[in-house]
Amino acid sequence: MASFTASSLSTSTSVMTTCDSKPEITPQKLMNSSILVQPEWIEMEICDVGNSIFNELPLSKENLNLKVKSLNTALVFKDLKLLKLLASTRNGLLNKGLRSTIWPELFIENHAINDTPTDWHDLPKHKDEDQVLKDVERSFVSFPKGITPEELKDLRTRLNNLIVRVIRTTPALNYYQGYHDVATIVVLVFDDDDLAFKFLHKLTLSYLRDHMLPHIESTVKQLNLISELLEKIDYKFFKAIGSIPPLYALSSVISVFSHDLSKFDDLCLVWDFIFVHDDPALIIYIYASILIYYKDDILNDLDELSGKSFSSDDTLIDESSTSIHEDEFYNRDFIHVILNNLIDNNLNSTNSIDSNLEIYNILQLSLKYINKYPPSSLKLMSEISDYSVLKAKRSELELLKSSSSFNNEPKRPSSSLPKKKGRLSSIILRNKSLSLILKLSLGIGLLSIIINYTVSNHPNVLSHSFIKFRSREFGVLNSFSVNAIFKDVENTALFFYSSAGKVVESIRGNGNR
Amino acid sequence: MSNNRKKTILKVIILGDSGVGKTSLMQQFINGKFSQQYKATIGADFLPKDLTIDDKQVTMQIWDTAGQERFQSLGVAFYRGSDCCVLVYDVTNTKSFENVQSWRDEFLIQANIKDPDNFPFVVIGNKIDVEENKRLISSKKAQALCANLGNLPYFETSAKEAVNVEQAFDVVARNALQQEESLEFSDDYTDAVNIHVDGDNYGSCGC
Repeated sequence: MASFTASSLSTSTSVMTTCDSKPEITPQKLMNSSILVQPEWIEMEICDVGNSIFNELPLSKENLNLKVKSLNTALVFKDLKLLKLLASTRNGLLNKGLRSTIWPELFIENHAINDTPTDWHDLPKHKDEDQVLKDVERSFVSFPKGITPEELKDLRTRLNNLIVRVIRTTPALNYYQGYHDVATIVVLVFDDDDLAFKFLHKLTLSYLRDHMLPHIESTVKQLNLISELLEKIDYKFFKAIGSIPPLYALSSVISVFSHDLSKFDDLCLVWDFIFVHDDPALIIYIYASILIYYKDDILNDLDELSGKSFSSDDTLIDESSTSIHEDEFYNRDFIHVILNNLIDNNLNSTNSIDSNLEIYNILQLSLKYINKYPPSSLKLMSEISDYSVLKAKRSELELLKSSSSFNNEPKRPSSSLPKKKGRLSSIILRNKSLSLILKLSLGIGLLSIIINYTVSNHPNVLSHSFIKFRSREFGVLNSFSVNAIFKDVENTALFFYSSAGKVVESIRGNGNR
Repeated sequence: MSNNRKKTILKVIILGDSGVGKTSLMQQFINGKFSQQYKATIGADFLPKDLTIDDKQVTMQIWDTAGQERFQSLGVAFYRGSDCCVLVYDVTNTKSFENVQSWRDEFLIQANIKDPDNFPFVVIGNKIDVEENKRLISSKKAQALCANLGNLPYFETSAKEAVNVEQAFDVVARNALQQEESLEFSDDYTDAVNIHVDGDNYGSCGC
């Protein structure tokens, strides 16, 4: 526990040190210090700093506590960037309680939603309420597990009320099957029905409204983006499965994966991620990433089912055959059925630790693709209405992009040699030798005096000069138990993470200039 | 590969209003089980079942579909190449019964069936396990409709209690096989279907 805390703090404080432009605390100075002998420097993107702390799987109990406290601190300080940084790490927002507080922060922060002026019960009945009831009656199938019939009944009543309240409040919305799956998640996360309504209403209008037009055409247009994306990402793979319209993605896309992911935790991770980036287009990119992630399995299954070799090169590029034999129908059917069951046969069939990791990888992949092939680069976007959530939301996002951690990529191998790069990067101290600890201990006596002084000034945690001061100490003390210095971990975490957010912000400010 | 080509695949589509029990019927026929806990079907998906009909080995692909009307237009992607269509209604739900004919008509258009008068349909009235007073559609009424639609075979089933499911799908399989074999004689059938399906698709979307 102690060693983790210490090293994680050292990692992050070194970032502060590096990013500080004042000469007196440059890494070089630290390196030249008589206390530090031969430290190793590695390069790390600023956006990876937060990730590096909490990305272990499974997260240890200590790290978990630290993360919870960090999240709470970020909440207290309304530090959205820090919230996003923490939410982007592997276990996302961890639990229902945090999600019900943080999702609205991430997502409905700037959108004042007026309560329904009258009691929603008194609003006119919506034409789709019968369909809602039919779907509510078969809801909560995969989760929650082990509830009593009474609890199930209660959940279904809440679900029905929630959906009916949304569609009565905005009668122009056309309910669709799959929307009820979205609403089940909201019911499970939010105990407060009014907050659940506000959240779902906002989610509906800013993410799902394309699917709630009278016809399904706008949904199909969104789905078609998956094909184009696939064509850009992996042309050979596209040739193998691109002959059918991506209707296999229908349930995942319109339900934001809630119809298909059978583990509640997995689903919440995906939602954490989407809300952190607050971009409806990510749903399409995540789906495409799932296809790419399981490409080998898909091709193997196709070979097996159809008796043809989809995975061999010559089949893929063969465009000479003009007539389509009846067998071609079966191939298309096979493709559909394999892809339609892709999530069920993979993510839903593994244990939660594996699926958790796979989801993290898939999400990181989707970030890579949305940066490399943004929606604006897709030709089929021209078919999509200007009022689509994919377009209306985009303009806001382009502005935010430069200051968010959008450049996150899957874990990179760390290099021991510092490289020059144009992008914002920082140098991190990595401590690995035990002998260093011994040598460091020589300086402890001297430093403890300074530290005691610092702790007594705790209320000043947010002042920048204080942070610089602290960071220098942490840089030096990187292998000591922080518990021994501070009274408890809570103070450490509270102090550190509230500061870190401000520093990251100021670094970004510098970087953008 | 040659084995695969030889094996006859019978494609069967199950249609009907939301909640009539399409998924339950399919699951009962294929896996012999019933659950109260089937999720609503979104889009379409099939399960295969190997059968022997009069010494002939066939694989039946049973396609389960979404019942909500807004998904109907997607059928064009799934219905092509079907050998039989099962129209399901719920004997406790009048509207689902009234919609049987429109499901049939929609299928004929979207699957682009060349010879609609001879395409095999089977009608199923499901949920006969309910108490008598909850039942709203009598056998007589259902039989009259089926006669009117061209003497379609009619079955009353309970997917929940496995009543008549096997029998209904036996007829489905036989009719599908007959349909499949009749198609083998028309060589240019498939090309024609392919061209027209796409054309009609865009035409119908526009209106």
